[in-house]
Amino acid sequence: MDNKLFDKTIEHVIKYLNESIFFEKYTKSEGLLQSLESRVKIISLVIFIVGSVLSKHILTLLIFNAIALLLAYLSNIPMYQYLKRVYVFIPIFAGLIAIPVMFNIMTPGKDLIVLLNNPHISITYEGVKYAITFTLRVATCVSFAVLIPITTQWNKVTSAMHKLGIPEVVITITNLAYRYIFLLLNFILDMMYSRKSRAIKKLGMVESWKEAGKAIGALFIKTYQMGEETYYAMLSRGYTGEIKHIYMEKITSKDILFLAFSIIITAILVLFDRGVV
Amino acid sequence: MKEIYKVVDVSYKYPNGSTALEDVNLNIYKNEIVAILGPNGAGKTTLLKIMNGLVFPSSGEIYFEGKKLTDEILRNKELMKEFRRKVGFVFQNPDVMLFNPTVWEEVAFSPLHLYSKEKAIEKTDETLKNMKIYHLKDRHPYNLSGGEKKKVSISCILSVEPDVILMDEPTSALDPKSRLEVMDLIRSFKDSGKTVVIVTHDLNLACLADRCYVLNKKVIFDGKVKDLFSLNLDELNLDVPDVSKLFLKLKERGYDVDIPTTIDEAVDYLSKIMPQKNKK
Repeated sequence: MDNKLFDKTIEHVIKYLNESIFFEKYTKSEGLLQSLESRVKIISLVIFIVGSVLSKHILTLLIFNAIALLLAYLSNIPMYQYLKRVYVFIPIFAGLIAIPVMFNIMTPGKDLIVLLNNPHISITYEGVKYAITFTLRVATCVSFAVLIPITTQWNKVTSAMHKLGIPEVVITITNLAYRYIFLLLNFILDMMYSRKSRAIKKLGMVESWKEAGKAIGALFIKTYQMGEETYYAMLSRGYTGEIKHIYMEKITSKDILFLAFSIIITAILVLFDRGVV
Repeated sequence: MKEIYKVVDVSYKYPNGSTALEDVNLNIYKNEIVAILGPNGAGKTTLLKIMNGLVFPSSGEIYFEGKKLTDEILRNKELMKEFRRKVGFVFQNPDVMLFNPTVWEEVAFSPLHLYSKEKAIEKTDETLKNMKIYHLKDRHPYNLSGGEKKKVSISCILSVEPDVILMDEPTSALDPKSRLEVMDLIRSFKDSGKTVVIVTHDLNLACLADRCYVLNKKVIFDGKVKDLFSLNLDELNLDVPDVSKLFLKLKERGYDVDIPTTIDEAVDYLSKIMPQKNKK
């Protein structure tokens, strides 16, 4: 039976699960970023992200991009998968958002392509340049941000966040979301298979959405019940509103060196971008 | 024998007004395994939650080691710590117990709340090794099999060495091998002096118990598992072992037989009554 809503949902759930599991294995492999202390790694990558956000020129952003690629390569992350994840989907969305900026209405300037003469609507050189810079900036930030979960085990990320002073409630919610997203995705998958096995005719769009609405409702109830039981399980094991963390990583000279490298390179690139260097 | 739990006239109503428990009375003594049997919706899990101080009865009283369990007592940090260290609760669905990113952190959750950091690390490693799941320590709970999840959830409570273990349907949804492993663990708890309360509707598991209660909102039976067979088991919707069913059928046909609850008991019984010449 051809029910595209079911098939697409199943397909995307499986894809997400596979991708998550696929990337988790690289957190344990040997590589530059994997060998760094988690706090230092997060701070260093955030410095690169801040540097990318502050950069206004395409050349500077390309250099930042090259650094992200080099870090991924030195961390033994398969380049094809990394590039696909960073440079295909996310910049496409950023590019879509940037489309209106290319027109003379939003960014006046030198005409590149004239679309209409009266009223005058054109794509401007300044607009295209801004759109490219914006998309490249998003891609650069994402390329650094993605390196954190790819090269760090989740428990280390949250412990490092705790050490860095992120509020406990944020860490707990993030942790629970990461833990249960897989379980709930599996539940959705089972629910979708069950619906597919009972679907005897092709559903129209409205019917499909009604069915999806019921599924969302069932998932909400399940999530609510599970949340209550999980809270009981936490209470029964001594939870008093505060999660205790054990941080066993130690900062070495290698970490300090990497942090210094990040600060110096970012500072040089930002100054270069501003025309100071 | 030292009394661990004393449940006196406990009733519980759900927020929607329906009754879960009605005037339940029971006693649990030190170092015994007690099974609480009953069909679905009989209030077994609610009773365990009351015994673990997670919910409180609408009426009636519950005492743990002679002290009344109340919301006020469990709000006291020190008393609560003491109670949580002494009583461990294994939930029916291991997924609700496994909320940390790795198995190691999961097992370390209680020790970290109850002990110093150094002791918590030591206890966690020790428990994982004793339970033979040390190799799983870095795994995400999502990637575990059903049997592994159950073992991890049991390890989560063993890491604080509780005196009393409450288990809600500990063998449900397990394959035969994992089921036997869990049953062996329950036996080992008793050997090490712990008190175990098992909630189940599986009589195979209840056979491990020294005593059992049958609950259907009220306590309708209190005694030895063997004596259960005088009840109408079909009406109670209990999962009777096949070997017991066989002997119950024989009894219905007029044979004067005892009802065994395990294969070993049945073999012993049959060996005694079968003529020697048939023995190979």
